[in-house]
Amino acid sequence: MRIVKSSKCKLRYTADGLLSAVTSGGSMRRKAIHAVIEDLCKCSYFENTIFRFVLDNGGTRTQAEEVFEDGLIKLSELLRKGQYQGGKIEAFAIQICKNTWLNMRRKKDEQLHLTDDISTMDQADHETPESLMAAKERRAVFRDILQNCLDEACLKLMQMKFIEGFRHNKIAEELGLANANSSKEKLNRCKKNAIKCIMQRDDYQDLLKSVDFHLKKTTTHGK
Amino acid sequence: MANNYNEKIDPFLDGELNEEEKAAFKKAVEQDPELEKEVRQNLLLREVVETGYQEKMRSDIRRWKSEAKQTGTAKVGNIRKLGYRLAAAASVVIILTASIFTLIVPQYSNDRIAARYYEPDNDLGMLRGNNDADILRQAFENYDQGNYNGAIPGFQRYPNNDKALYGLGLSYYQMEDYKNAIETFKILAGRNNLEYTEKAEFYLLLSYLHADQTGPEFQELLNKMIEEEGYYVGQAEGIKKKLDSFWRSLR
Repeated sequence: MRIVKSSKCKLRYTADGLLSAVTSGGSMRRKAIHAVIEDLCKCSYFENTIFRFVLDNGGTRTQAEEVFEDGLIKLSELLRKGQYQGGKIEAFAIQICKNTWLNMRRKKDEQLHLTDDISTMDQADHETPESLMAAKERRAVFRDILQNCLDEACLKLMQMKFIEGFRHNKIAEELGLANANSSKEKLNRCKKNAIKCIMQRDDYQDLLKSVDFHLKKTTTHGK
Repeated sequence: MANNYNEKIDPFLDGELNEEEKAAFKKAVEQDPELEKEVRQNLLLREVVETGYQEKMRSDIRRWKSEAKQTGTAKVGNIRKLGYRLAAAASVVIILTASIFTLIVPQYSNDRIAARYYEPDNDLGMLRGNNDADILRQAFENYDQGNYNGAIPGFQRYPNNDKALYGLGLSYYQMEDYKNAIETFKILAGRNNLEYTEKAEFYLLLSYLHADQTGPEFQELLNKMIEEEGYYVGQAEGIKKKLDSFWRSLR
């Protein structure tokens, strides 16, 4: 892969290359997203810019670390969802991290639980999950579910399907399954077992309630 | 339960249904509590899976950052490492200087230092957008072809456009019109545009050197670039080293 030396960070993808890869989807998109995040992690200019912004705007180094990670995770999500329209990759990533910090600070200042764009988009008249469970606590619950209700193979399959938007034939190819139908059947089995396991939790009803605001929302994998 | 809708949960959540199918599905969800529960379960599961994906990404990020620090790629908090490198570079320079004194000393003139640390901005091509006005596009083309004099009027047409202002500064720089380059880069640096500030400051620094204006403004800018450890920190430190050099005092 060509290194783009002209950029402030040594990125393996040009803006056009990245746009083309994320639009293509599948393994090309995955490879591109990983490469971009890895290159940004190794770019001192990017790191310095984020740290300077957070520190200059009332944050601590620990918060800067958090913004750096959360911002890059958000970047991967936006790339997956087709929200990158081209243009300088570092500038796009820096803007995301800045927004992450501003949201975090606002949240802290106003003592709100969550004010990011996803929640505000879907709150409607329903109770928000944030009123039921703080975001961090919620992540801890999900980590527990991941540990107890999903084996590695099922998690991998579901991530490929639900998050990365792979088609079943590609999933079968990558996971060494016979064909697309085998992948579909395995996915259904994994879902069924995982849901059955979640239903046995004491907090199952709360968890179920907490997702109802998502009903209007669909994911698109950047299609 | 409306069984025929069961299989549509994933296509619905993946945004694969057309408008008509989506409307029908939503209606079915509203009317069938069991189906609604299944949709909620699926959404919950997806959120869990997303969390798993994010956790993996978080651990990758930490690993990549740590790799970068180990290989010395990351510069944050790594001043000591940078110092060692500069010290090594300085040692080499000193040895060479001692042996070919007469060839080296002239290299410490302001012009030579600026030329030594100059690097062309290869991003310039990436700055162009399809929405640029024809005049601006033409100005960039002239710049590309080395027709800096021809590029200037085009860039001057857009005094409020940072991209054009940047092109203008570079054109003056290429024409060795450092007085105007300084004025232009000063304005651009003052605009605090994330995209251009550091670049403008870097070329402003070089323009000052070429123009032999190494007074307080130059020193302040040089120190700022070093303290802020931005993209051009390596060049700024190199320049400072050269300026403070013993050999320079022999000029």
